[in-house]
Amino acid sequence: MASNEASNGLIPRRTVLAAGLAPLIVPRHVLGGPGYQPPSDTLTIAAVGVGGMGRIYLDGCQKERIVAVCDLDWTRPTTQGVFQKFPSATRYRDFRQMFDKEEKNFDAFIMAAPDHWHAILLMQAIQMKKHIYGAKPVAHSIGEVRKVRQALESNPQLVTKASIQDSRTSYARATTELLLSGAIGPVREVHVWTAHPIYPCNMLRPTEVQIPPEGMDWDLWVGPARFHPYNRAYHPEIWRAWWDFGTGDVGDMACHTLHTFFEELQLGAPKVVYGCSSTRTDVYNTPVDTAETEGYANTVVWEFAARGNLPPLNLYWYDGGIKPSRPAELAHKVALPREGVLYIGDNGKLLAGYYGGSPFQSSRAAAGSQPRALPGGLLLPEARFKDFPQPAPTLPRVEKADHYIEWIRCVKEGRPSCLPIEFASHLTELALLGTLALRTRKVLEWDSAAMRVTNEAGANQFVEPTYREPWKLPAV
Amino acid sequence: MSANKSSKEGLSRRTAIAAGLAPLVVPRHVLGGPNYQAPSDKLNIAAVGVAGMGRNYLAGCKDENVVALCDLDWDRSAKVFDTYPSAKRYRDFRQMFDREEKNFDALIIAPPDHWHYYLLMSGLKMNKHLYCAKPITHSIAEARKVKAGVLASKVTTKASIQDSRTSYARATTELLLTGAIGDVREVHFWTGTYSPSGLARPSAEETPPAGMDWDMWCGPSPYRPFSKIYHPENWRPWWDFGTGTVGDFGCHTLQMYHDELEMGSPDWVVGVGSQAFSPAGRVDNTECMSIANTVQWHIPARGNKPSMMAYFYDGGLTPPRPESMPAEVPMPGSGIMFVGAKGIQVSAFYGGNPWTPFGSQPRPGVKVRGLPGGWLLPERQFKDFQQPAATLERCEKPDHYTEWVRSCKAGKKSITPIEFACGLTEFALLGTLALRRYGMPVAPPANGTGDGGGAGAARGRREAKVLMWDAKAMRVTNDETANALVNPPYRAPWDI
Repeated sequence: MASNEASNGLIPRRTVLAAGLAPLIVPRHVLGGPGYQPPSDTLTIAAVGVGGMGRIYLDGCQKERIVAVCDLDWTRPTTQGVFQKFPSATRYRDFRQMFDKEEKNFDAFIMAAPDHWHAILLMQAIQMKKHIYGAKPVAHSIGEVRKVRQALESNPQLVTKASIQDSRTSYARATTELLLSGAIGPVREVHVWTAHPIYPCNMLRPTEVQIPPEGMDWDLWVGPARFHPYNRAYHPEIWRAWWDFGTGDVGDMACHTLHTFFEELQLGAPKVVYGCSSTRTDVYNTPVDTAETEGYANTVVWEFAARGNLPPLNLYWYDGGIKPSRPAELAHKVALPREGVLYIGDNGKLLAGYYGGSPFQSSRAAAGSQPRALPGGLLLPEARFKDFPQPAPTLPRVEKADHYIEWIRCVKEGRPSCLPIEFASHLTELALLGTLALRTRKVLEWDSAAMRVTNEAGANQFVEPTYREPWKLPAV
Repeated sequence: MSANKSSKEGLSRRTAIAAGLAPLVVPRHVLGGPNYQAPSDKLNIAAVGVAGMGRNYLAGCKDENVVALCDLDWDRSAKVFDTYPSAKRYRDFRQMFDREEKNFDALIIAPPDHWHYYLLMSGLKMNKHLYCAKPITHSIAEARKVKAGVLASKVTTKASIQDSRTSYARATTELLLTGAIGDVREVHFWTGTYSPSGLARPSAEETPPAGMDWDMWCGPSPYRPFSKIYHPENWRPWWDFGTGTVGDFGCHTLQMYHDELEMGSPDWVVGVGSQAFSPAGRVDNTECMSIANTVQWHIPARGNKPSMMAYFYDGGLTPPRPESMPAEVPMPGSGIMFVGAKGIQVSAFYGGNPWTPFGSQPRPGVKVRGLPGGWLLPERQFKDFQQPAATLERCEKPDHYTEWVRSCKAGKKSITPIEFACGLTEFALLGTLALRRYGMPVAPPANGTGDGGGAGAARGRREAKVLMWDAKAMRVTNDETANALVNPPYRAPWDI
């Protein structure tokens, strides 16, 4: 398996398959019996950002050959754990060195660095013609997202997957199918709420200069973003709250729910987006300006005009523990779930899990402390829908409910995964408009075709931000 | 002037006035000419809690005779003491009442919320006129007892809701009462948070200010080792002592519409607050208000008014913008939004137009939209709508002090008597109750099937439980944990 080879060939792999030709490699397990995976069938993988979510992605791919792992911070127990788990993988601190030395040795790339690094790493991987498993959000700015999407569209032979673990599962699909049944009629409002962020927010820019973890090249970690001296307030883990590095909770988490309804409700081009964030106060009522980080609690509203025969719709976001208005139809004994989605249609409401499925546990429903919901969620008012059945499953599901296995198999078989990065790029764009609204604290009118905020010129600097020297987005 | 004296007589002062009889005391300025205030005409005032809001209340009454001042923290009170050199100084209000009871007619009450009830009841027992900070009390049961006590008394009371009955607040009420927006289905009110919040209980004990009896400060509430995290000033987000932003600020806005919209009997309430984290993990702020909070009350149909939702937001959160609001108009940082069947009214949190709060002039470059009482949406629908004529009685800020003093002297009710504020306080404290309950751990289900992960997983896990409220019985009917906060026990010796 070498995607390099394939891409250098005259016929793209996908065309070969579409033409009904045999796969390029005869699966060896046919010879070796079930459970046997011969080396030549094994995917070679390199990964960047293994001390964070990357270690989870690697675990999902552990049956493959991990040839190289890269992380700037070797002091983290998580990074050390990866090193021990994959002793034969060559260890790097600098991804540029890894790509220089290992480019020929791996077929597939796991990208799990902080958000401000995503676009550069993805574009470089696309340039090297590597298959990609990438963390969401796809990138840190909307401009980057569109460039990555374009690059992927011109490299259809690359098999990519966005790490949205719950997407295309049977529970997520059940919610989508229930929504598509039309039970609640045309949808006017969608409210989503998550119990994240789960890290410090509403922070002040640190003034104290701290020493980075031993051996860590902090300047490289900051990379294309605005430089700030090292502080524990950024790394490890807390970078998500800082607009320079992360995209806030809405950037981090919105893809995890949007996959259940984004395409079905045609949410590609909102006309207006705005939000608000919690603010901090110090002793004696002194306001504390924490404008460079997201708040502990944030809300965002995206407004959509009519799309085709779909009526205008508002999408509402709540995080940090804040929840939408409680629907009057919900039985009083039922608490609004910690996280969830509330669809409001002309003929009823659908209360679903944040990641898809029912927000209620069947065990507690049996005990009577929670309502009996359909697999796709709870239809309200309950009396109106008491005989409404969960529709039959019609949408494709992720194989074996395992995105890692599905990605690997698709790479080996040269077919698109069920969750390509192009799909996630659309979700990311909507999420990043939320980030933009929170960051600018303005009501933004958005021209999606022109990729511009039309009423607040200052906001556009974050749509396509400039990189710190010497970093550039690789062209593909 | 002595409220004591009048109440001991067979004929109450109020009855005397109602009967058209002359006031009991002949005003001396009749003899001395205008602006002359004879000493015997002056109200004799004692105050508890003088370093915080109390100093403003005293300043409003400075032409009266301030006879005694009480504060536990004399470092902080020094300036106030100096302003009233002839007033006796006390640390312990019990001592002040023992020694001064005969020397004052009126009591200003301005310590932290957890002390209000005890002092109000003491004041009523001594038959003193009362000026009290809002919220009137720390618990709902206290608010009801105070209301009953005040109604049964003959004294003149005022709740310190400075913007109430001002022309800007009245303009908002009058605009609402025109019915322009139709039946009100939603009321949203939002404001900032004014103290550090989302805090964990401090682990280190600090030294209280010199001479301060910290145990006394904690008083009827649970004892907590001293920390600057509570005093001075920052006790409001701590549920033991304060009532949070909703308790602190609720009365300031509810004064304009609570009675008019008949909001006295919500049948359920639910509140949620934001989480907080340090690099080490989740901050356990079970006993402290969160940085950002929302509360939702449901008010069932009453008379010909349909059911209504009320929503509170603090800490920077605002309600969603109405669709009819032009994009170039920023949502006010604090405010009220009435959503009616036929339109929307956006007003300032304390009353008036959102761009001229407190009846002020607009800031340079800020365009004022709408009417003195608020902004009606959609704009086009209301473009010819006029602010109605002023019909409700006014009392301009800062003359609430004058109005109270004058009412005390005339033996009549003030324009914002404490019983009025008790209703507002109760509504606000239901919000406090909901937020406080939200911060407490989720009770394990009776059948033992938890959320999985055992007790560890339940830590920090919160549930937006709906609290069913029986206003008549003053009970949370579906949650004993919350119900226990409606009328919480006091710490000895304050449990009498």
